[in-house]
Amino acid sequence: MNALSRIHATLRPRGLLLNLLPDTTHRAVEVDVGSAILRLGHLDATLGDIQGFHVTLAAQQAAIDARLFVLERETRFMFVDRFDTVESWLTYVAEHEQGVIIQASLLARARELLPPGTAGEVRISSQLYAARLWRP
Amino acid sequence: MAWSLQAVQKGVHAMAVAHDPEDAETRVIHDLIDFSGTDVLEVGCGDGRLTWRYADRTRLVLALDPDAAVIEQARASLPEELRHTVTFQVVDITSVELPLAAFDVVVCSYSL
Repeated sequence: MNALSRIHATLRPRGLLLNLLPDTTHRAVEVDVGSAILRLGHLDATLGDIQGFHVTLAAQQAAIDARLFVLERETRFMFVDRFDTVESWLTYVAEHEQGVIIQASLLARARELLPPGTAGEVRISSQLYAARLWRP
Repeated sequence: MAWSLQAVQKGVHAMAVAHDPEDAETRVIHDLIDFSGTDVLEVGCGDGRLTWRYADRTRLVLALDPDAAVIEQARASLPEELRHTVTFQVVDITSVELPLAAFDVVVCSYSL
């Protein structure tokens, strides 16, 4: 019994499923140096990221096709994670996002713009997919 | 803007990260779901990052994650005012039986 079937069973009739899924294929990197915000580029998505996002959406659609759920609303929105230094960002990536690919040229530019002791921040903007489904 | 300190040390410097300080995710989830008085199951709760954004409106929350380390973080971070509302458990939902027809809302955060 897969996860969505178990979720269907544990929901009361007309209960709601909120499915949040990051689309890590579109993550922009910016540096705020106080006087300006400079876009440096994007983080490369791994094949696993790309496949994972689409596999999950396909599983959701399969559950809809099987009449386990009815899709009511879906939306995509951007949110930003902010890091006070380049090293904060890299430490976070090493601990939480081991698969992230950061181009060497992008990283070098970030370090040039935001050397240690400089006020500013690294901003990573990401897209999130959100869907509201209900259990018939 | 409020910075939250990650439990990370490099040399003598603490690192600071602010996740979605504009609260975009919070606005979207409350736009999609009215959590008032609901019984909620959260799947893939991690360290409680998303749980704190809605739990105060619920009747109860059962938040699950298969990672014992992050559940420990979540329990340690649980605000006093939510201690009678939120329960964190180490569970892999693909391998356990969940109670039937027990919840009004299921929140799946990056976990399907």
